[in-house]
Amino acid sequence: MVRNYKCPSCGATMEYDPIDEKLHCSYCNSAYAPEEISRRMSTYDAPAASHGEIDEVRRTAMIRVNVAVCNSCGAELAVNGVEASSFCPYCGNAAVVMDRVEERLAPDYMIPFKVGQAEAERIIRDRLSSGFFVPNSIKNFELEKLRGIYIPFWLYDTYYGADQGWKYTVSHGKSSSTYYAHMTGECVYHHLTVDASLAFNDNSSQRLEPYDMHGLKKFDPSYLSGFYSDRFDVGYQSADRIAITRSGEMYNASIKERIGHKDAKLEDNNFRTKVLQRDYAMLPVWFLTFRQDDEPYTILVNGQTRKMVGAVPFDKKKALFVFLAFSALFCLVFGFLGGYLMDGLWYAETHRSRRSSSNNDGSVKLFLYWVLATVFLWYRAVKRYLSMKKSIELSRSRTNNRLAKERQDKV
Amino acid sequence: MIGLIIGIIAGFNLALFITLACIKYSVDAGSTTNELQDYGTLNILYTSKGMGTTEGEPDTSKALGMLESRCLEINEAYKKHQG
Repeated sequence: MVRNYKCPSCGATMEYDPIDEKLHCSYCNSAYAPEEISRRMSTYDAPAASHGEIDEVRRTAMIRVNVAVCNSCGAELAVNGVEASSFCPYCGNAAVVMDRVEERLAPDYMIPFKVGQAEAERIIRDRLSSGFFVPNSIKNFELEKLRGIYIPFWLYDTYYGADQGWKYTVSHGKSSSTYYAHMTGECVYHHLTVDASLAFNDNSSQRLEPYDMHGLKKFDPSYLSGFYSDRFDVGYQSADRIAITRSGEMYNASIKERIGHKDAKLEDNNFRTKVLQRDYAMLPVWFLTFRQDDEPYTILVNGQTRKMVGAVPFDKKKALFVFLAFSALFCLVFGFLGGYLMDGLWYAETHRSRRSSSNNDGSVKLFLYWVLATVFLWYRAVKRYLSMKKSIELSRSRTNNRLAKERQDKV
Repeated sequence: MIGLIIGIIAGFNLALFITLACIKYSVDAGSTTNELQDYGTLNILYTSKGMGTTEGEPDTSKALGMLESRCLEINEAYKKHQG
């Protein structure tokens, strides 16, 4: 968030490199640890604090930032370093302009980038190039549209205790029995993450999890050099609700696992919950934005754990070709099996039933199995298609805009 | 003839299913489901399972009272730790 870090040796601008975790001077090749630069430059404007005021000071510490605004979706990003912003990583439009310098609340903690730009590019290229159905235009994306952004998160420690009644069914052959479970328990959740940016959608942020909280460091602005950073615009009142809801979901999932029945249903839930602590943190994410059919898409990479999130549109010609090839193969095999075996069985049974006046049960059963298998395949295929469609929709940058607007309306 | 038609329809269904599975694997990068992380360790204070209610179960108001005091206790411990 701080504008520029000057090299102590030559005065040129320095940028943070996640590979060796140092700030590098592009002019004289000097390298310094962020702590050393912070000591020398002291750009972190924390007011002097008395002993008992440390926590209060930490929460009111401000930092000065350069703010760039996207005229298309309204996202506001802090540009750290010399690079002028050319496009918005959220909506993919080149409508970003430098707007103002402002003071912002400094985060309490941060996780510095562990993945460099080259590695993020390799992760994305490896994954996309291995995808047979990924269009070539997406496989050969432009590197200039890969940006590292520190996303603001609230980190929560919460208490969730509940006295619950659960109901589940156990099958014994053709019969089944209903069981009840009474469970009283509690859990303290540590460092539960809640996305604090309106521009970044919640589904994407939750998919990027988990972050390794052992890598959490006290906020040091020198780590930001060379990256963008978003500001928090979800207040803790709204975030509290999300944290409590997520605590409840995790608690219920753990209890369900303990009961050991996937179909267990929560019948009665009496709970006590409390936010024990909340901190403001910045966590690293790489954003790759590209265009396909004039529509911007965004692929994300967790800047600490290398986890990649996102789906891209598929090549429809390739999909049609593969479907026709599979169809030809399977129709041939199943047509043969159906024509010879099923018709043969049907014919044999019809012949036998005429002589012995018995039913042709075998072929009817076979037909029923076929209907069941067809229904199952269609169910799985539709479910798979909808899940893929949802993932592609989430990667579509305009979805970010829509979700951001929906959240803005709610807050 | 009926068997042949049924076989061909089954072939198309399977081809559609496998093609969609391949496309999904190919273009859907990374995790596709929201993963609930285990951020804490569950502490079970009471449990009973059976066909109906079990004798000796704690009533809800007592259980909630106990959870309330546990919650306050942990909150105090947090405050002390921060202080």
